[in-house]
Amino acid sequence: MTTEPASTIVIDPVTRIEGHSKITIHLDADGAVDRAFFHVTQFRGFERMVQGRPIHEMPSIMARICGICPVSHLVASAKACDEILAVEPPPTGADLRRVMNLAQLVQSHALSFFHLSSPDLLFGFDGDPAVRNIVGVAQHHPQLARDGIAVRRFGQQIIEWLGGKRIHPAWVVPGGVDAPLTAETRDRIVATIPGALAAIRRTLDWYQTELVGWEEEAAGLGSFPSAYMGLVDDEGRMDHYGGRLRVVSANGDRLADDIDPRSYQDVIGEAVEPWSYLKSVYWKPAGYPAGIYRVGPLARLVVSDRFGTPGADAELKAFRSRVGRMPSSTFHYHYARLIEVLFGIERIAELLRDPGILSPRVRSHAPINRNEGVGVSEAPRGTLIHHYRVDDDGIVQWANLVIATGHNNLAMNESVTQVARRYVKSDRLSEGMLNRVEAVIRCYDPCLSCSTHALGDMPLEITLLTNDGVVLDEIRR
Amino acid sequence: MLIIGVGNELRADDGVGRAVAEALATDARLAGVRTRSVRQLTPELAVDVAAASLVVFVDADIRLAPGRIAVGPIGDARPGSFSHHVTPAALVELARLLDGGVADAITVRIGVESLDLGYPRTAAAERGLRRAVEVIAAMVADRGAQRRDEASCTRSR
Repeated sequence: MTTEPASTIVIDPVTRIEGHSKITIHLDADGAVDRAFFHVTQFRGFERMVQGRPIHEMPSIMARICGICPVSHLVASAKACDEILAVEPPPTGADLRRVMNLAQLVQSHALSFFHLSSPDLLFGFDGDPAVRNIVGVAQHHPQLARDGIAVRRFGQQIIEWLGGKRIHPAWVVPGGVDAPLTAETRDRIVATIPGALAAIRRTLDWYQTELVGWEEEAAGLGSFPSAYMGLVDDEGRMDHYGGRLRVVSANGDRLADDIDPRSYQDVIGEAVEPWSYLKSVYWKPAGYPAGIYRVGPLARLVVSDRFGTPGADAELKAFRSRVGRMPSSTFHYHYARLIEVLFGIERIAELLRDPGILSPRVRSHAPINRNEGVGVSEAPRGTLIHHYRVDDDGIVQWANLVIATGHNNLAMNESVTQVARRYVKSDRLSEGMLNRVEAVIRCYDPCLSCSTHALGDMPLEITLLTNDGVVLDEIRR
Repeated sequence: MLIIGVGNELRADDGVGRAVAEALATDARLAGVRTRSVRQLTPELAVDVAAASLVVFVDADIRLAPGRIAVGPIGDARPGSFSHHVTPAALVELARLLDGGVADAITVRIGVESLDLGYPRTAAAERGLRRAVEVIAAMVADRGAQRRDEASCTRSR
C-alpha cells in the first residue's frame, strides 16, 4: 500500500458476487476517505498447477477454474491450443464454438442481472435485505423473475444440448469441437429462440422505464472517466470469439486499434499488489496505475461501432442516445448486459440459420507445431486471455491467464473509493454505504474464482482503520 | 412426480443424491417419473418443480449416521443472500410464485461419512444409495396405488 492513511474501514465479505472479497477504507488525518482497497483474499494458482500437463488436457482443466463461465475458459484455452497445433478449426467448428460461447454469455448475464442485481433495482439499494433476493423478485415482479429464469435456461440448455452437460462440458477441443451439430439439436434450440427473445425484450422495456429513477444513484456509482477495451471484427462490429483488440480513451479517441491479441504483452501490463491475489492489469503506454481501463459488456458497447444484428443495433442506438457515446458510470453495465443478451440470442439464431452449421467437418487435427500459443475471446465479464508455452512434446511449461476481473481491478478499486468518499461521513459504517459498495462491485459482476483461481465460496467484509492501524468499525455479511 | 438428486460427485459421498437420481432414471419401476441430477439447486429448476405434483429432493447429509436414510419435510423457505442456488423450500416457493404450481415436496437425506475431495464414495454411502433407491421406489408405488384408489372412488361415485 502506498498511502499512510489515518483510518481504515473494512467490508468483509461482499455478497452476491462470484467469490469472496474484503474491502478496507482508509481515512486521512482529517477523517475523510483517502483510499479504498478491494482485496481478493483467495488463491488457487491454476497457472502453476497446469505445468507438466499435456496441452490436449488444457481446455478441460481450465474450464474447472469456474462453474459459472466454464465455456469462456474452454474457448480461450482451445484457441491457445489451436495456435500450438498451428491449425484453424473448420468454419463450422468455429461457428459452433461461437454458438456455445454466446449461450454462455446469455446465461451468465442472466444470472448477473436477474438473480444477483435485479433485487437491488427492484427494491432499491436500501431495501429490506429479507426481500432483496430472487424469491422477493418473484413475489413482487413475477414476470421479471419468470423472464430471468427463461433467459438463463435458454443459455444453459444450449450448452447442455451441445456439450452434454451445463457445467464443464468437454465439447470444445483443440482444433474445433468434438462432434457435429445434429438437425434435431439445432431444431430444439431454434424452437426456444422466440421465447428467449420475448423475455429479454420485455426486460429491456422494463429497464428503460426504470432507468429514469436511477439517474442520481448512477451518477455516484463508480462514475469516472476511463479507457475501455474489447475485441472487434474487421468491420468494427463487436466480436466475442475472434477479432482484434481496440482500446478507446475516456474521451472517445482510439488509443489503439487492430492489435493482434497475440501481442497483448506489448500493451498490457500486470501489476501485483501485496494486498490482493487479484492482479491489477493496466494499459502499458499510460503506465501503472494511470493505465486504468474497463472491459466487459459496457466496454464492448463503447469500443465497437455496432453489434451487427438488427434488434441489438437498435438498442445500441437507444443506449447511446440515453447515456451518451462514452458513458462514465459503472451502473450502465446493467443496461449493456441486457443489450448483449439480446445480441447473443439474435446471433445464435443467425448462426443456426446457416445450413453449413450441420457440416460434419468440425475439427482439425495436427501434432505439436509451435511452442507457444495465445487464445483470446470475450467472456461475459470481459476480455479473456490464455497464454501457454509447451515443450516439443506438448507438455505445458508455463501458463499465464489474464482474466476479465483482473482488467477491471483498478476500475473496481476506483469505484469503491468513489462510493466510500460519497457515503462515509464519520468513523462509523452505515448500511447505506455498505449496500452501495456491494452494488457497485456487482455492476462489474466480478468472478473472483476465475481471477484469483481461488478455492471455495465467498461473501464480503468491510473494515475502517485509523492511520496507525486501529480498527474503528467492521461489518461482515 | 419429479426426483431431484443434488451434490458434487467430486466430493466423495456428496454426490450420492445425484447417484440415486441417476439410478432411478433407468429403474423400470419408476416409468413416467422425471429425474434431474444436479450439482446444486438453481432458480431455473422452478419450471420443472411447478410441473410436478410431488418433488423429492435427494441429498447427502453428513449429520446423519452413515448409510441411514431420513425422509422429511423441506423446511424453511427463507433464501440466503447469495442467490445462485436456493434451498428446496425456496425452490418450491419460487415455483408457486411464478407458475402457481403447488407441489408436495419432501427430502430424502442420506447419511454419509466423507465430503473430502475425490471420486470414490464410501461403503456406507453406497449402502445409503441402495436403500434410498428402494425407499423412493416404494414411495412411488404407494403413491401410484393411492392415486388408483382415488380414481376408483371417483368413478364409483
